[in-house]
Amino acid sequence: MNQWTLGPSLRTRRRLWAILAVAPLFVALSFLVVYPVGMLLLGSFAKGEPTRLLAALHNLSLSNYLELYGSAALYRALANSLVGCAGGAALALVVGLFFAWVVARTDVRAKGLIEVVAIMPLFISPVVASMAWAILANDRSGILNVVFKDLGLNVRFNVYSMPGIWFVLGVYYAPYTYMFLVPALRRMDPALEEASAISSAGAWQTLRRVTLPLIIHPLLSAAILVFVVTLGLFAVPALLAIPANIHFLTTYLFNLVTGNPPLYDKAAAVSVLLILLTLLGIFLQRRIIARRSVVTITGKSVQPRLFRLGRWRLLVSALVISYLCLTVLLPFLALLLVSIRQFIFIPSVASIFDTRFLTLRHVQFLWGHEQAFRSIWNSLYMGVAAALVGTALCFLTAYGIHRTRLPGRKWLDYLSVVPVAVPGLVIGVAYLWAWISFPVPVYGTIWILALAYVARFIPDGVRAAGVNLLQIHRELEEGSRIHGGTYWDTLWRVVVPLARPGIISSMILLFVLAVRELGSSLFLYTTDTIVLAVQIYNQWESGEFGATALLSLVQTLILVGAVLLARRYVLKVETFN
Amino acid sequence: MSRAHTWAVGLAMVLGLAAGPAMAVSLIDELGGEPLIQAAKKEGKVVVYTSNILSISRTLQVAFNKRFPEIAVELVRLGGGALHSKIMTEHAAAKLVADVLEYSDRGLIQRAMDRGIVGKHTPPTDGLYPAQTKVHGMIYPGSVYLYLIAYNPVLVPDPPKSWMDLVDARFRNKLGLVPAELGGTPWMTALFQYQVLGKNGESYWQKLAAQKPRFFTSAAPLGKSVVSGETPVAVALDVVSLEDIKQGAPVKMVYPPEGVVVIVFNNALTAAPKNPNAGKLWLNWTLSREGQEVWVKQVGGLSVRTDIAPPAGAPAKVNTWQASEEDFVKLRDPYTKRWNEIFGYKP
Repeated sequence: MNQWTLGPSLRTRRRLWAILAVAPLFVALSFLVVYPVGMLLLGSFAKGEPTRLLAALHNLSLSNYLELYGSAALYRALANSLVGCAGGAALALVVGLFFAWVVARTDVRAKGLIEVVAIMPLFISPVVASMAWAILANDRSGILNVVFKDLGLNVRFNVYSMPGIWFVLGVYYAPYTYMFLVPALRRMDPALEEASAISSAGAWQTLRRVTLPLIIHPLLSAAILVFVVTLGLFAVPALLAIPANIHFLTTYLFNLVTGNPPLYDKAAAVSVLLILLTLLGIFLQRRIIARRSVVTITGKSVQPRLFRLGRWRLLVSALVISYLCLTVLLPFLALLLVSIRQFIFIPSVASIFDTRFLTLRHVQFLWGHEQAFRSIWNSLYMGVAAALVGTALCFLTAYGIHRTRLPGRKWLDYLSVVPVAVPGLVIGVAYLWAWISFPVPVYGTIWILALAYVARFIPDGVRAAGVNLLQIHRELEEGSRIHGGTYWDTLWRVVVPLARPGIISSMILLFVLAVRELGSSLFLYTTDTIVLAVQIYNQWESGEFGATALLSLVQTLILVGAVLLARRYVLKVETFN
Repeated sequence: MSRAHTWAVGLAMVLGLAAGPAMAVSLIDELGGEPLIQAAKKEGKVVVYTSNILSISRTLQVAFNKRFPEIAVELVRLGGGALHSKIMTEHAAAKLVADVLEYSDRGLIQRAMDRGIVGKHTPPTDGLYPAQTKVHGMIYPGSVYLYLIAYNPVLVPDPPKSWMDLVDARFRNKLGLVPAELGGTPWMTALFQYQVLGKNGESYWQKLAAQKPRFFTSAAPLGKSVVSGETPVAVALDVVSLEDIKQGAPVKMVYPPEGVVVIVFNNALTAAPKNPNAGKLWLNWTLSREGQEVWVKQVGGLSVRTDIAPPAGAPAKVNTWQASEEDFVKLRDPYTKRWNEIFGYKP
């Protein structure tokens, strides 16, 4: 029995409810995404600055595109971006899958701790991570290289290289893939794997032929998301690629926006290219999904089948500890060192411990800096706002895409994905002149930042919610409706509780991303609404490395605190379920 | 067209010393008079949009507030191009809240002037600033940056003594610089290298490119990399390293005899400031003896005012060079393109 056997009036009412639920989403997404990106698109066909757009409207042309796409520099930047982000996504997938499998499908001890280790890199924003690794592993004076030299080892790392970028992108974006894969692995029906075991297939064969194919959708989804997100990243290429004279699309874009004169029209054209690349990625992803059933969560309650680690336990522990050292401990120590030293000249291991150069001057500088405290408060306030508003919007959007049969839901999907390809820098500019003339005074308030973040991270939130929802079979919802539940009842009492871990993950993700976000903040803040990421970036750009390192540690602690609190709540929910 | 300008220390000494009350009177004159000061205090706030390095702005702010604790100074700091785009867009929507603008790039503030964003103001100290450093009645050089050579003395026992020495083979793969197209200050330096060192030719650029320098997106991280030893020698901005030098960091500056590139800041009042009197007071103070001495003595920079001595550590005579405004604007595009080709900088 399904909804088609019910009376026509009920069907109409259901459709009306669906439309009512989804229409506000279209409106919201249009405001947040279509209007600013539309201005951007128009700008790419116009000549001149955005403030002269109205005047330029009658003189639109393809000249920006022709000039741009005839330039070898663009293709070099494109190639570097594709190679860099693909490598990063591949490494992120491998690392994320390793952790997800260890946590969800093995009998490893201290599982809670390992879960924390797996997501810890989220606490460290890309600027901070790049800065820390530049200090640790630049080829001339990197601390690690100094240690190797003192130990007589003929090893040198150079983070200013494509492999260096793969490394930083890979390990710091692995949490994305991890967070997608854990729920999928946890809720898999073990019957298929048991069947495989009964048929005498070994553990590796089962993994390869049964487990992996079942999670191929979350795997590809995660890999594609990491790829397109890192395509729009500015901080890592700016700090690590430029010294090696490697240009990515985003640094190319930055040069266009901040050059003299700023070339917004060309910047808009480059942004359109980025958007097209993302749409291509999403299109590919949809084709892959269409070929496989992704249902692994059914109405029956399941216990995942755990793999016994046995003699592999030691190796797994070693890998987890290495990851923690690379992503958190070493960078943390490097930042701590920089924040308590007068200056960072470290010619030998012994000089690290030289107390003559210790100082509290950076602490004093920050303590007397009222703006630093304001930036912390603003980040917290706005991070929570973005997380709550964003998660609600993302969840409803994902539900609209995956759980209704409205004809427009494909467009909802594409709409929700567009911001991924628009780098923060450009979203910031687009928002600036999209909202500055708006009759309702949004510009200059903290709300424009929150709106920009929500818009910016809709894709992350919707993907996360979507992957989660897809794992839940419709039979659970239909069971609710059969028993007389309304549309909203079903949503609230059946879908939400099942999707709750995903919803919490979404909230954590949005909070963390909002607090870390730099690009879109740079053009939208004022002295009253300055946020932590901007404060850190301004200080870094001014060469205040000590104060930057300190504030980076503060930002990290804020994010750690938030995530630990939320994880505690999620674990409670999990055990209850 | 190149210029050379030499500073006389004697003039500074004659003008510098005046006894108490006479000093106080002349300070108030330089600040614009008591009525302006009172009106500014009533306004209670000044909003400054600056591309000055943050710690330097804060030093100036702290010193200003020592004299005028009743006037809150709100600093909005962004790099050149980013600041300009913020200003232009806010102005277009009639939401520009800045009272004072501080640009490092003359080309960019020229665009702001063309839009009517820059207001008219002649500070009392106008006559003490050379003609080529200002636009009379509108733009004045509150800060001055110098492009010169910085090096790490621990790693470089035999430092370069001049620009020509910098292209010696012993510094191959040891140099760092900011590409010419990334800002007004590196562009001015590249133009100096072309016009003066290359005698209106590419020879110096070719020699410098042969050193295979490392590129940095801005001067501040470059300066820090000299301290850390990552970049033993750099074509650097003085202000970045001044604080470090005070702290005893391993970085030293060379004022090359062929010339030190002077980049004067472009400080101006906006056309429609919300706090006009406070804005004028901030400008006047920045350009006054007191403000300039904060710049020279506390920050360690150079002043272009004819009556203020160079900072400690600089030679008594600093050979300075400044591009003509026409060259700075007209030659920028074609020359930076050519620079990119020669240096293999592929944006």
